[in-house]
This record gives sequence, C-alpha cells and structure tokens, in this order.
Amino acid sequence: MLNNIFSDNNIQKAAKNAVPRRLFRAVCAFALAMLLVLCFSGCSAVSSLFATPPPADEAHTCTLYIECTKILENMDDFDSGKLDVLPEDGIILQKVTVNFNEGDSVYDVLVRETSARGIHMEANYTPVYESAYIEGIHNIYEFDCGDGSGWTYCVNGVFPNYGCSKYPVNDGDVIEWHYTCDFGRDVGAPIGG
Amino acid sequence: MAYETEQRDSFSTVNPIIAFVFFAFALIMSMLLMHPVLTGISFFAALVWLFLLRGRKAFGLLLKFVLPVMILTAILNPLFNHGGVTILFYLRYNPITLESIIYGAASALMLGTVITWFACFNAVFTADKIVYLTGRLAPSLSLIISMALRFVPLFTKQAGRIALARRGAGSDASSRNIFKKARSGLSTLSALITWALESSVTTADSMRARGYGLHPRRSFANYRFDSRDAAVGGAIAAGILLTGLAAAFRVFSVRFFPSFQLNDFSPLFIAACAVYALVLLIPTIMYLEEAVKWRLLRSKI
Repeated sequence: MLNNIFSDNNIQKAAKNAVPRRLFRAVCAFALAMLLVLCFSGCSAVSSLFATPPPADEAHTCTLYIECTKILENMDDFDSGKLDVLPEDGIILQKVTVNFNEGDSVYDVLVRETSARGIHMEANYTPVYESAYIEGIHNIYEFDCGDGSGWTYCVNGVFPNYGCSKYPVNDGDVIEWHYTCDFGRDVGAPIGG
Repeated sequence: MAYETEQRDSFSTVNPIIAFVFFAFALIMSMLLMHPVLTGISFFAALVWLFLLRGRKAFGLLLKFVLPVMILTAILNPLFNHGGVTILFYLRYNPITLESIIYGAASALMLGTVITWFACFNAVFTADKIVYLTGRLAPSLSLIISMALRFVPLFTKQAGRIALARRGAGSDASSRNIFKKARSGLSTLSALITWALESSVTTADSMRARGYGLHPRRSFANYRFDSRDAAVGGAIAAGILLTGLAAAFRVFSVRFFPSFQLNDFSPLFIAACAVYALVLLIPTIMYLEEAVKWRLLRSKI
C-alpha cells in the first residue's frame, strides 16, 4: 500500500544516481592522479624490475657446480613429465670457475651465472628466513622427486643451516648445489639443515 | 514488425534434471580439460548461448566481469609461475617463460568459460527449478535456502524504501558529514530490523494459514518427463560417454610444463572435439530449431 507510492518513482532513481556519480568522479580523479605518479616514478621502477645482475669483478673467483645425480638413483619417484629436462648424467653445470663481486652472496653468484648461461632458475624471497629460497633449477623443482626432494647448497663441503643469500662468498670457495631426494641425507647434509 | 515477440529459450523448458546434468557436464569438463581447443569450443558454446539468453545484457557481463577476470589471470600467472624451458626475459631475477604465459592464457580462457557457463546457469535455473531438484532430497532445507536467498534483495529493497521515507520526513541521509550519515544509517537499520521481525512473524502466520507442514502436502512442480526430454537426455548421455572415453584414453592430453606439448591433431581427436562441440551446442541448436520453426509457421499464416 505505502510501498506502491514509492515503487516506480523517478525521484527514487534520481536519489540513487546522485551518490554513485560523485563517487565515480572521485574514483576517476584518483585513477588519474595514480597514473601521473606512476608515469614519474615508473621509469626508474620499471628499469629496476627488469635489471640483470651487475657484472662480476674479475679479481675474485670461486667455483660453482650444480648437479641432480640423486634423481638418477630414485627414478621411480621422479615426475615423468620432467624426463626431458633431466640431464643424462645428472649434471646441470660442470665445475666452473666464476667471478664475483665483493660482498656477493651464494644466491647472487647463482643468479648471475644461471641467467648468463640461460639456465632456468626460480627463487623466491622468504621473509621468515630473510633469504632467497631456490625452488627450482633447470625446471627441476622441489618435490619433483618425492616429498623430501629439493635444492640445497654446500660451500667447501659444509652445508650451512641458513639461506643462500645470507652466505657471503670468499675467494676460492667451492659452491655446490645438490638436488636431494631425502631431506638432504643422501647428499651428505646434516638432518634438519 | 508488430508481432515481433521475444524468442523463448527452448532448453529452459526441458526437465531440470536433464538441464542440471548438462550444466554439470559442461562445467566439470571445462574445468578438467585444459586443452586449448576444447576450452575454446566450450567458451564459444557458452558465449553463443549466453547471447541468445540475455541479448545485449550479456555484453555488459562480459565486459565488466568476465574480461577483467581473464586479463588479470593471464597477467598474474607469468608473474608468479616461472616454470618452463623457454625463457623470454627476466623480471626481478626470475625468468618469465613462454610456457607460463601459455598456461596463464589457457587458465584465463578456462576461468572465463566457467563464469560464462555459470551465467547461463543463472539465467536458466530459476528458483522453482532449484527447489524442484533439491525438494525431494531435503524439502525443508531447500525451502530455507530459497527463503534465505530471497532475503538479500528483499532487505536492500526495503532499506531503500525506509531511507526514502526518512528523507521525505526530513531526516536527510545524503549528508556529507560522515557521522550524521552513520547515525542516519543506524536509524534506517533499526527500522529495517523491526520490519524484518514483523515480516517474519507475518510470513510464519501466512504459511500456517495456507497449511504448511500438514502431512500429505507436497511441493508442486510443473515438470514432466516427455519424449523431448528423453531425446535431449539421450544425446547428452551419449556425449558424456564418448567424451569421457576420449578423456580416459588421453585423446585430449596436454602438457604445459616444462615444455608445452599438444597431441597431434589426429582424426580421432578431431572426431572427439566434434562430439564435445555438438553436446555443448545442444541448447543453441534447440534455440535455433525453435526460431526456424516459429518463422516457418508464421510465414504460412
């Protein structure tokens, strides 16, 4: 009864439209302002997004080695879809001597050398450990060969129990990246490391 | 022409069980089979039917919802998924690969397809059909669901009416002051809650007055299972069987990581795709058949 008075009334429509139009204008103005800010700050931000690792200093050298031979011993667990990225001998990068900059971490060396050689490598930053975590190298990812599989590193034969971007490289260090299929036990890392 | 009437969708009148099986098939297959050709077929079928069902309104839905979701998915995937052997460039030291871009595009297409099918589902599955489907399993639950679903639009409508009445009485709710606005909103809410309590009592009384809960009463549904339902149901069942077999024998297999691989387009694959397309186009075919029939009949008069 009372509802019918209001049900199809133009006043209702006009009242409904007034607020959204003001809101729409505000949103447009905000978007325009954001666009301008982006244009000014964008150039530097974008170039840093696409940045490649800085070139290395020739005075410092270390050794880098990447292997996943343990997969060859655990072929039953290995993801069959990834067979064509698995190297026959399990070695992704033979021992090479590479240069690095003062203060570079193990992660910096890995990023520079894999991207320079076109070897696929994915890492993400883990805030809890304040370090990069290597998810996959050469498209061989963690968990591709059982639940306990993933990438781990050792320097001069010692497995550090912290992330690779917290380990500063010294001259003559031997950095080895191993793919473990058993939480590190099979490659000689201490359990829980 | 003066006699131009809105075309009725033929598939909307088939038995809800058949229609439900069709939608379940379309949605599950669209989600499971990521093969770009199959998703493309499914997307095309859903789009055509949505345009037939909703006309110009389908455009709005596509532009405002489906397209943004698809673009967002296609952009976000390569940013977070770096697998794949073809490295295009590096973004924050992580590789952007061709495979992750392809996978992003494929999953965007899949998502768009599923949303479009759901839009068709919404247009076809009216409340009475849902109650018909679930009514036999859980009558009181389906009643509660249909009432609960009705509450949201009902409340917004009533809130609008109260706000308008308040404005008419001099309490302006469109003030710029946020505190005044909040206070006015609370008054509206209070009135709304009072109304809701009252209307629930009225509803209960009304239901009792009409004999709800008396034992021999059942819900009424005007759906029969006629020969057309049998024919459509048979066609859908045959399609499900054939497509399911093809999927089981890995005719539609596709691999995105580490490298993108499609099966060869064998005659078997093309035949299976044709069957899949035919099944998904059943509503469109029925609609066109009806339209042609209508046109022919009218020209005779």
